[in-house]
Amino acid sequence: MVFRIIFYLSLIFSLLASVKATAQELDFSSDYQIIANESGLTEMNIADLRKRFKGKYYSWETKIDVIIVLPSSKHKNAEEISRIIYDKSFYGVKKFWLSLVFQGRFNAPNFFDSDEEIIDFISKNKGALGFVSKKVSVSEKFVITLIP
Amino acid sequence: MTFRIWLPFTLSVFMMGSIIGFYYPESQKEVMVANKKTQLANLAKTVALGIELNFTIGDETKSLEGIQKTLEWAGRENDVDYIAIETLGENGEKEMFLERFFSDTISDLFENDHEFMYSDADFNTEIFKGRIIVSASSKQVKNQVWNLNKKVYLFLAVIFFVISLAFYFLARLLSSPLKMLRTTTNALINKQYKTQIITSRFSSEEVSALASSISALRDTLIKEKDNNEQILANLEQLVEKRSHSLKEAQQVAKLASFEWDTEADRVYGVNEFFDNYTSRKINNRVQTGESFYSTIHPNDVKSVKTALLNLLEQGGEKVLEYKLHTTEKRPQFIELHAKTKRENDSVMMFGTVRDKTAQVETERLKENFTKELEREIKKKTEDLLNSENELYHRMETLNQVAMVSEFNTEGTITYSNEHFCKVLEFNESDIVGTIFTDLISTQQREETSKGIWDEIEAGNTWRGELVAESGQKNDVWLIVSVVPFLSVSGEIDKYVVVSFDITDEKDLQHQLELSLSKERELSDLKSHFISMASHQFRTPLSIIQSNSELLNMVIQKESKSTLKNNLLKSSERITSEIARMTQLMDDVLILGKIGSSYLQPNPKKVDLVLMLSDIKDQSDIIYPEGRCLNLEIVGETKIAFLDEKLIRHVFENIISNAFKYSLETNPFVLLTFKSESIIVSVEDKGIGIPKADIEKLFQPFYRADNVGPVSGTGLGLVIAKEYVELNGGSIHLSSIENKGTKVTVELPLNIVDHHENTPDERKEINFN
Repeated sequence: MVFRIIFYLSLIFSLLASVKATAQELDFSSDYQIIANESGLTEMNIADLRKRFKGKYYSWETKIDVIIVLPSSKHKNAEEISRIIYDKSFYGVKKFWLSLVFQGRFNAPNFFDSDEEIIDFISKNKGALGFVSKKVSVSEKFVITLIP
Repeated sequence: MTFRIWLPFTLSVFMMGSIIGFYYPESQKEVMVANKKTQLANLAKTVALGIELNFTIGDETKSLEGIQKTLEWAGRENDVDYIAIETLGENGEKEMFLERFFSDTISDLFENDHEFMYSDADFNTEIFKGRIIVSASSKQVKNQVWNLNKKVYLFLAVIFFVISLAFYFLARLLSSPLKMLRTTTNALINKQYKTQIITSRFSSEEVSALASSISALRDTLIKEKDNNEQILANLEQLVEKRSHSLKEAQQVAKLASFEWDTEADRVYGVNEFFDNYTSRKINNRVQTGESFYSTIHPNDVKSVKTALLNLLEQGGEKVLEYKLHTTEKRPQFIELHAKTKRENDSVMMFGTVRDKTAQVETERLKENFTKELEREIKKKTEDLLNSENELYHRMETLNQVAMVSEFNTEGTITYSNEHFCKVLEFNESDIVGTIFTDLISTQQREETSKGIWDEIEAGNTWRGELVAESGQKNDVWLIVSVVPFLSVSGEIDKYVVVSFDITDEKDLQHQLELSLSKERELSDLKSHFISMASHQFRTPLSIIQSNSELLNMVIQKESKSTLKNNLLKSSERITSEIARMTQLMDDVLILGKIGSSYLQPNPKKVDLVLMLSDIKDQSDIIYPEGRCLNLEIVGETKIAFLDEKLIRHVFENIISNAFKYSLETNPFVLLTFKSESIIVSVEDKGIGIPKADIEKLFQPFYRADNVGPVSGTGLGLVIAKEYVELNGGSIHLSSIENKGTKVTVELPLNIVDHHENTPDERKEINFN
């Protein structure tokens, strides 16, 4: 009986811990927004977002190729976004993409100096996926809502 | 017979074809392997350069795309089988090893230990370093050679077959006359002359046929030669195509290649980059060693020459860096990678040349920037240390003379300097932790605390004096400044109190106030005494005067003229002295009032024209016939705001003096109205005043030496000066003995600032 109670309590605590972890991960959604052009998606979870940014999917559900858009070293949020998505420094991200591109596993991503340039590129290129500050206004049709 | 002729020819052609078929592809293969190796080296350098750019310059998109395209191009166009990147950490440890395979069968080739060609290039970024390894199987080259020569072999086989066939028919043609010739010869030997004749007749036709055959053979051989030339042209075209690919690779890497034949002293530039990097255009890109050296900056020539000569002697590889000898201001830096190869007795040198200017400039810029930064940091550090030192000395000085303490927003003292503790005679441990306002004396505490907190909580500085409770002795007077200190967020963080001990000054002030009070009491006592004395003197003087007048009346009745005259003279002297005594008493009384500060002016609207005209009328009446006062008015007349009584006394006194001391001429009064003042000057042409006496005339009871019998108290000018100053004016006297005196009085139009008026009175100042 005691063993069963301990088992259930452990289960509840682990569930609560996972909910808390998810909440922490979603904290950045108050500062940033995901934008994509003709992705065919309106919402996405954090795991899916990271997979897509790490080049795990070559194309969207709309059969359009995924184009990764990232902040360049001159972008003010480069370090923060690198930490959020890749859990790496900006140089770590550059190494990561060097390895992907070198091995021919994915096309080279596009780096831009500002959110405005990222939005401009995404709005002109189908399949482009990026990550910009919420302070910048973006057309609703490009925004993908982050879900837990 | 035919076979015997055909066989040697055919075997010879076959052997020649075999020799060509064996050696020609081998030489081709050698060239292609050499090209391939150069191509792999350039490719490795291109990728390494791309990575360096990616992690140095920071244009991530272009550099990554460059790497991607280079690799795609390498796989597609260059028959590269394998590229790997090996990165090393800061300590040289292996960090990452990435591989890219361009061939599906590469793993099989690896497993079978197939022969590979490879090349590598190092890269070094700010973050990490490593090397690129590019590899290709030599099987590819063999395949390429086979593919290239496949048709040639087939063609050669066909040619061989045709030639064999041709030889066969030729042999057949030749064998027939030869057979006839042999038969004839045998017949001749056997003395069968008939046969010989027949044979010789037949022989001319056969010879003609033989000539035709030989001609046909020649045509066949010419055709074969043309075909061979065509094959050679195709091969050259292929080589050129490969060279073009190589050139493209070099263009991507901006690499120039060169070959240096040391025996012939010729430097061959393989592509146009070599021309760029040698700053000159030379036909066929051929230079001599010296002309190549002349492209190098004079400062670098010696070192480059020495290094290349060593390389030629010792062999191996060498990387050199030098500056181009150009006329442009901007220096151009070149990196030369050279390698030697020995062929028989001659030594060839191969290499690449790369423009390193951008890299060198970046490094120099970085170096200069670092130096500048270090200089700036050093300067700032020195400034900071100086400032710190200066601040320390200032703080030390301040701590010597000022009491400095700090308290938090709750009012609790958090710091006090030594001087603070010393003055208040507390230990620092006793003061720190106490409430700041608890140090204020109990009498002042409640009211002062409220005032201080109201001011400093509003963010203002509070300044004031207060009495602090000392630990051991009496209370201490302090002059205190409480300054709020703001934190970075703009909120009040703490308060700094700077105080000075003014107890001694306060004691001195108290003593001065006591002395002043005593002096005032004495002055009042003196004034009271003078007033009382004057009054007491007046009563007997009045009695003496009335009795003198009674005596005068009695004397008038006296019949004896001699006695009467004497008595009248005595009576007049008594009356005169009584008048002088009365005047003296009046003056002393006025002077007493002035000294006791009881006398306060009572300003009202005064028309000075009217006042001086009145004085003139009176003077004209009082003084003997022929004497009068001349009055002149200058400027727009204005109404002044003065004490009429005092000012009238002043002018009466000055004008009276003018009449007294100038018996032959009439005094002259000039009244001048200015914008903010009135100037009245009274001038006479009388006895004047000695120069030595002028300054002393405003001292009480002082009279000039030359006054003679003219009566006076020596107080008139003193009183006049006091009265003028009480009205906010000034008096000035100038005189020349025996020529006359001029007294000038300047009065303000209003005297608001010089005495206390009621608000209503002040309103009257505006006369407009």
